[in-house]
Amino acid sequence: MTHIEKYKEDAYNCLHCRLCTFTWAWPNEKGIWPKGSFQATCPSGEKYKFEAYFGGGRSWLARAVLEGKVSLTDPSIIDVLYACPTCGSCQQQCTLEEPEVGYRHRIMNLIEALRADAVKAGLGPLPKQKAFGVHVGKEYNPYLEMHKDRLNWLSPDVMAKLPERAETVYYVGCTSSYRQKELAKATVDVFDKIGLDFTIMRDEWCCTSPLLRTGQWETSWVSAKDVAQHNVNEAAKTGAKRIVTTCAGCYRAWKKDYLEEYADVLNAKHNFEVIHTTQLLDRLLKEGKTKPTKEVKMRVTYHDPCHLGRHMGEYDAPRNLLKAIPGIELIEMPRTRENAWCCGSGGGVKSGYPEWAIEISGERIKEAEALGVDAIVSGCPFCERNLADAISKYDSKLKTYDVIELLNQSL
Amino acid sequence: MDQATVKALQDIVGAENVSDAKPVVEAYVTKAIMDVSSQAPAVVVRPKSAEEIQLTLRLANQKKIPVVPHSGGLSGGDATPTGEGAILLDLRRMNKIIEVNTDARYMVIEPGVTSAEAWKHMQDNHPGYRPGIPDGAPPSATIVGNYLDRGFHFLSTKYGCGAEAVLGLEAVLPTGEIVRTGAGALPTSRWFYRWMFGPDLTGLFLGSQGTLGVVTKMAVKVFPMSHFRDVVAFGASHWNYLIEPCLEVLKTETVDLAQGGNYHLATTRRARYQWPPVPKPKFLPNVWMNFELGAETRGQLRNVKRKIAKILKKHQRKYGEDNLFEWKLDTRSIAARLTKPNRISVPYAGHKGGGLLFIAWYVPWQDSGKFCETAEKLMEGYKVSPAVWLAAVDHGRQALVMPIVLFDPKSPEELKTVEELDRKMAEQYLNMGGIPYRPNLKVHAPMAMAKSIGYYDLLKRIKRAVDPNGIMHPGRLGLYASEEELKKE
Repeated sequence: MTHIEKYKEDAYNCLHCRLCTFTWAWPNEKGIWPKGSFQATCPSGEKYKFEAYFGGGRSWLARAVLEGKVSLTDPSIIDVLYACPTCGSCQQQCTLEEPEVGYRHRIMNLIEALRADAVKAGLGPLPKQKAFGVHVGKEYNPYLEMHKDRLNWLSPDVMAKLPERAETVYYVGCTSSYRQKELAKATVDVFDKIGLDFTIMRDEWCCTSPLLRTGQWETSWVSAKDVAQHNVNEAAKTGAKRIVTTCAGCYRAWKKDYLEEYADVLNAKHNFEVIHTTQLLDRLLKEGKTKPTKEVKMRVTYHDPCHLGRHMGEYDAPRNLLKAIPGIELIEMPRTRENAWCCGSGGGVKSGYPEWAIEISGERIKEAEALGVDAIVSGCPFCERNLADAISKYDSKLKTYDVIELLNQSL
Repeated sequence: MDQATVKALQDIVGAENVSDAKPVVEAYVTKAIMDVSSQAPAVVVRPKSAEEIQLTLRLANQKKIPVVPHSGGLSGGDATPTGEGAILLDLRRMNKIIEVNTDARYMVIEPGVTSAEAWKHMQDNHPGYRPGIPDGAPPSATIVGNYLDRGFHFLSTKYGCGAEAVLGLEAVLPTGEIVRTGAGALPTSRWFYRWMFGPDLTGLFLGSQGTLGVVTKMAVKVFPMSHFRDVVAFGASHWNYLIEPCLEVLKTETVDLAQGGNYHLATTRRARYQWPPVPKPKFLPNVWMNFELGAETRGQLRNVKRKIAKILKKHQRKYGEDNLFEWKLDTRSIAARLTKPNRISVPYAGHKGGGLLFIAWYVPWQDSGKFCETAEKLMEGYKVSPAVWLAAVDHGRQALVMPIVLFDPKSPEELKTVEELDRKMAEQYLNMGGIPYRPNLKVHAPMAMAKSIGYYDLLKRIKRAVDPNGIMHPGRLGLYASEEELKKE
């Protein structure tokens, strides 16, 4: 059985109405549609323009594959499958009425299942994606770094203080461990300042998100299942009840992919409470257990990471934190929350199409610049990295931060 | 398609705007909405201008390759080829709003302009006016596509179908000439008047389903926005009690939009996959009609509502209050009805897993109840949930009766049932005097044409004169499905 067959219902559920091609932000009481409505929403479709690159077209392509009209060994399918950051905006626009009417159309699953089938058929993934997949199999991270260096960002004195067992595990993730190290450091700082009982897994592996997103589920070079199971077992050794992640991708993997979406692929179910750092801190803020006091004078806008927002439904916690920091003025972009324009780094695009990934991010940077803000803030190191790359490429004066970094300045 | 042709097309529009890759062309297929017959094109071409279309059509003519224009694709199967080997012109790159004139009240747009874009443009730049966008259909639908198909829009009860709002157009003929119709044909004039001298050549393209050329610009009326709006609804126990009082309301010529249907219209908006249909919930009438009203002042709106209430009372005396009554809508329902654009029709697709076919017909309002009843009986006979939508066009001179056939597209048997039901309904509706709204390939067009008095012959003569090689959307409207048929003509 192919993976796509599991999602047959979803493929056939597409009416092909093209609602997936633009944002939907409801009008105000006077019937005036906000600026963020009817805007471009699909980075892939906007770039490649043909119907096959929009969510609906990909659903009809999935039908064609299921009906044997298109082969997953046809090399011309590779870009159609992989030139997509799986941001989920198409699915968001399509299934707006789902809670009310039960209309289900899991476009992201269709794309990921087609990718997994293409990998099985020997066509995918793209060379650079395979390279990181191979590396995850050997060194447990997609950045072609050595596993032994994973905790190098942590100073020896802090490392020495970390207990073997604790109530909370801070799952650092590959991006913060090897690239956005300031975020990892800021997170540990914040946890220290609020007196959180936490530790870090000594043998943390990739969360599997890059593998799941690119169809590298079970291959001769890496097994997403083995990687996920290792993480769950390592976390269990700490006696923790809770996994906290600063990375939106890791958060989704631990909370949704391990437990629901790809539970059958990974067989890595667990009983940990999985929570994003912004959610944990928002909770502590509401309970009065922490309070940002130092002023951080800055006009900022918040970029919703796809893996935290659309994929997991968390929009408020990061905003609550920003609003709680004295001196921060939060200004929303027109395409915000459910309608946020993707940063372009997800779904294997950052490695598979590096130039285009920055182009996508560049559009977000322009949207933020138009507000006259000082910084664009996110809740995901992978977004932060790609936004920073676009800032550098397009000579923008904007700064990038993670919410936690600003909070750290205020505590 | 041979690679030399693909290369020639690339030379015209640029390599990045041409694809004959199987995964790309298959993604244009749509076996739903207005037709369940749909073929993938051999190649997709994305032109940016009338000149690029001109060159493409000349090439197609020379090589006798079928060409299918496709703007938003919201006509579903109608907007895709009927046979193999066609060029599909994806017109979405042509998405400019060229001109807005709020004095003569029109806008000139390219075929790729969606309802959403046109609406937003008017809201932001000319807040007193709006384009006639389709109601219920997703605003990804293009205005040009909808109007060319004589589509329904949110003020159709007041101003007639979309085609009535066209003030002229520019088209590329199958042989490559660029023509303009209406006052816009004169370079010194504005697009203020649908006619030039002589006959209405604008009308020639309206309803032609892409068989006579590719429309590259269209001047369409824009309409004033009412300051005060509300919705009043009639409920009834049967169509027999609804049609006459509604006609009396419509004759007052004060209604912006009148649309309604039977209770299945509400119950089939949920994903259910079941037969028999969901029983009628208590809060829904068997059948109903919403009247969307708009006025310049609160007082005017009150007067219209009073007038409607009076008509209702009069007919209640005749039919009884159990058979005809005011259906009080809650604030949320009223707001939902008045929200334009909206996406009300989309969830129907989920009812049985994605299969949705609108079998719509233009009928005289006075007979619309009988058409609705006929549809219900037929659909029940085929074990299809009998959801029927009914709307008034041009103050009730016409009605649009639209059975919404929901099916499981994964089931070949259900697909067969849908086609059979469509054929049966077309037979009965034609005998009753209905006109197909967007005549589909296998059923409506051939049947309607066969019965027409001289109309089909005239249409074929026009087609031959304009498109001698029969390249434009062959098969649509029963015109040349194949080269053999063309030779026979």
